[in-house]
Amino acid sequence: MIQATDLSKYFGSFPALKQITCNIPKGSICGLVGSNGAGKSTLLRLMTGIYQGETGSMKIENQPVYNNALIKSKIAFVPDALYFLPGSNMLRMAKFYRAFYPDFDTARFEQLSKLFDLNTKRPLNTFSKGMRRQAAAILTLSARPLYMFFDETFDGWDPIVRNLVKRLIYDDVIERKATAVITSHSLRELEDLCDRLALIHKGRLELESDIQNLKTSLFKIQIAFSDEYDKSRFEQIDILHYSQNGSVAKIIIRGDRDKILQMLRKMNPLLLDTISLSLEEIFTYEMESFGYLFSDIIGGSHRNEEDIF
Amino acid sequence: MKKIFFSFSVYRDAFRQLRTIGIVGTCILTLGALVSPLLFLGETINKNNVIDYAKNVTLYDDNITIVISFIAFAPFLTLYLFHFQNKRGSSDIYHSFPIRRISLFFSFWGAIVTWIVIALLISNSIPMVIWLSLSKHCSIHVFGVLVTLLNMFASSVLVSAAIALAMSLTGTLFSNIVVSLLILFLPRLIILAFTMLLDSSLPITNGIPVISVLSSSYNVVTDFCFSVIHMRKDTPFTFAGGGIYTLVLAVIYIGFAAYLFHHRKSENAERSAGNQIAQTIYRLSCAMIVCLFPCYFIVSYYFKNPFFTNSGSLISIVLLYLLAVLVYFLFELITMHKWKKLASAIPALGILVLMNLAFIFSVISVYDHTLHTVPVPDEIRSVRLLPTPDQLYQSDNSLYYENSYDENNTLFLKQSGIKLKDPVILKMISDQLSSSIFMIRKGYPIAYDAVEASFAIELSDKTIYRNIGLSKLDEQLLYECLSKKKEFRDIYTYLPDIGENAASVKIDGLNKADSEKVYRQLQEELPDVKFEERYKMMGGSLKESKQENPSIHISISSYYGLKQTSIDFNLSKAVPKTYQLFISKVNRDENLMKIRDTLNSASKSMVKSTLYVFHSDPKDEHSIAKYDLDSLSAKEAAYINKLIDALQLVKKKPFQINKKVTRLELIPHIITGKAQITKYDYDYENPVIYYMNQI
Repeated sequence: MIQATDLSKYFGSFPALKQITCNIPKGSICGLVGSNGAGKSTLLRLMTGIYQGETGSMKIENQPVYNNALIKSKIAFVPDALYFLPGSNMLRMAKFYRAFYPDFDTARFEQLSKLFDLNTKRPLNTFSKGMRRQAAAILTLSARPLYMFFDETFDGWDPIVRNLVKRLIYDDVIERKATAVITSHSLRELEDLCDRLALIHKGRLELESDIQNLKTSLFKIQIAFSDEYDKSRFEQIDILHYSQNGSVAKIIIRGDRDKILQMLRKMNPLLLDTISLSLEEIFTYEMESFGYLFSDIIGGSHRNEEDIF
Repeated sequence: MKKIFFSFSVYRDAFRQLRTIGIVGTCILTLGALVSPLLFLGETINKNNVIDYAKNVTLYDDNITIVISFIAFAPFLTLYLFHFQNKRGSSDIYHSFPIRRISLFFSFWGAIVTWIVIALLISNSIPMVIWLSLSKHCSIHVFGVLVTLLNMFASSVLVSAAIALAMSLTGTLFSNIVVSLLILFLPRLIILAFTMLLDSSLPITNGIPVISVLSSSYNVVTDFCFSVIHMRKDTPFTFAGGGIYTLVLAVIYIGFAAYLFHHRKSENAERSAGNQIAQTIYRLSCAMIVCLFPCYFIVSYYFKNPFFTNSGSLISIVLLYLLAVLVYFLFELITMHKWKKLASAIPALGILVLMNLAFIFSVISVYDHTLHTVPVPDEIRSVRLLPTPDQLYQSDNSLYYENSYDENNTLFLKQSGIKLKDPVILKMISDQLSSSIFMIRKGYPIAYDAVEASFAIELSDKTIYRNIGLSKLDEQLLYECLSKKKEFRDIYTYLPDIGENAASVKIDGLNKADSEKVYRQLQEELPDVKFEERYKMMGGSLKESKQENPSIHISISSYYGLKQTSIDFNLSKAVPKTYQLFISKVNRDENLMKIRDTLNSASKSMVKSTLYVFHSDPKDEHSIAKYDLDSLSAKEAAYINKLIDALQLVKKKPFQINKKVTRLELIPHIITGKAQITKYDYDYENPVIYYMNQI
């Protein structure tokens, strides 16, 4: 388990992260989302023991991560700014990783290189940006880590590569109870990949939850009545968003779906439809409930209200 | 547990990362080292040109490119391997790896040291094999070679440690380099500026620091780099003490570097300093280096130093301070890339002013303290005459080294241990010190028509080191006092055996085997010679006895403690058997024939040859005659041919000292051929390499 408790990180006088507390269970894939500069990468660097927090603690398996070679031997990290030895190819980099990771799996490295169709003898500086990210992912996965950290690694990959890496991560999670933490500023990149999501805004962890839980606890209905009505008719329901056009109302509701639908049916509506929300929509309304505009948090990545409805 | 401080797999990978630089560096060093032995080998094979003479092989003299090992090779290795700290991506990756920071540091640094060792061993062992194959023609100074290797290794390791330390403190290439230079040079530069300022303003100070390791010769790297300022002619690479000190300093630096590396934050990458205080220290240090020059002028002005005469120097002070301020802000601008930051750097200029004042006032206080320390004879327990480093002087557009008590002379070093307690000497020292201080206060040199000598004056609570002007009478007094002492007389009696303290002998004009034969004869004969004569031949400097142009020069090189020293012996007829043996060995037919051949073919030859004829009487100002062989008159050519005939005759007849053989008395040897420019050469301004041979 990855545990952050009251974790704060300052760069000079600038607070990059403020009192973060979160638990990421073993065997889960957690997505960290937030706009540029929100603190995602900083949190990832604290989780991987690259940075040390000024206050609080960061532990993996109940042990501090910073300068702990034993814990770090279970960790592998793909940073947003990739690093390869000057003039090296993938074979050389594999030797480099093997020097640090005694459990580096050469067979898996060769297998993955073939799977991704990457020439291991070609200098890495001749690779495209996407191919370099693939190379970094292959090296990381070949180190056989129990905790994998990907900093915006998935952004910009084509669907085939993305699905391939996704499948590999899934395999590791299922077979070896591995844990993966992936950052992105795009929810759509993480929606079908993660089972947990955390949202960071201005250095604070605003939301952290199981995706399934989020998806079941928040839903949208379209409802219409023969008589005149307004929002007050639904006082007993936890409404996150309400809009009405004529006799048809569109409502975002939080709570037990079955119970609420049963309650609404008793009101004899002319129309009652339930619509599943995308993860992005869920986040939009959750954040609105905290008083944020989602567009401020995930800059430009969300659809406007008209798109949603 | 082993991996707490070292990981072999990481070390092996780091070694691999350095492979290209390591191989290229090793090749360059090896090629540089091969030049001298290959040239010598070529000369040996081409017998027509070779003059069979004894050559002392030392690493430094025969391979100047060896300094590349610490000037370029070690810095490149260190900057390349630790460069990952300067980039966020690479710094983050290394911080995320499962290895303790201290283990990463020592594994990486171990790889650097391994490449340094490999390069030094390969680049020196291959030439050494060639030298060994030529050992008939040259003597290899094994101990000297080992000491030079130690010093080169220590220098390379020190430079590497200083750069590693700087890279642990800073996060950009520019700041890496600047801070490395500050770590390496700033402390010694301040000490040098301090002592130079005192020495030039206060001639009674002799530059001997109270703590010996503060002497510039102890730090091989700075001593080599400052040798231009020092204008010293001896090499810093043969002093074993320097190598040991440099190695110890490197270990201390690497300890600091490891500690800082362990605590370095990954976020310091791409930042010139870890925090604002460090940034201010670097900025102030850079500016302070420039400030040392105006400080020098200000103190000189205060002391009325004769070097500070023209009013233009006042403008220089202002301009240099402006330059210091420019450097101060330029460093900030280059490292921070923001004009706004310049304003926030202004307040720290006050610290720079304080640093300048502290430097100036400390020099002035030491100056005043030195002038007020004038012990009366009763306060002096003993005095010792000390050797001093050679100084380069300028006179009439020519440069020359002058030193009566050379610190590289074995005998002077030995006699510096003799304590003199005679009341006459103590009074003389006290009086002369008072007199020297009086002269300084009046603004005059401390010794008109006299020799400056350096003394350690032992008082009841401390020892002070002073330069004092000695008149001829004072020197005579000192000599008489010393010559009564057995230990002094013993020093001028004993010559070391070959091999003892790494002793080797070189006699101009003789090959190795003949040199050693003549030297052994000299060792046998010397104890029976009168002390006065021995002292004269062994270059004793306290009497008017030195031969300015020694006719036959024997150099005995050895180690005295940790220092390479030499005895310069001037062979004279006071040791007749040795003299005769030398003449017979040097007048070999093939040498004479070569001179005759050169003489006969001089007009056709492309190579200019000059012939020197040395006369036996050193007091004769025309004792050295010079002949350009390509422009000899018929009379001169005939004269030289006669000379050669006569010398060939000597080979067949036993040489007798007392027999009136005018020509032989006149011409103990003839020189042509390749010669190093030495302090005895008259053509210093326009050095020419001569082809030399002695008969």
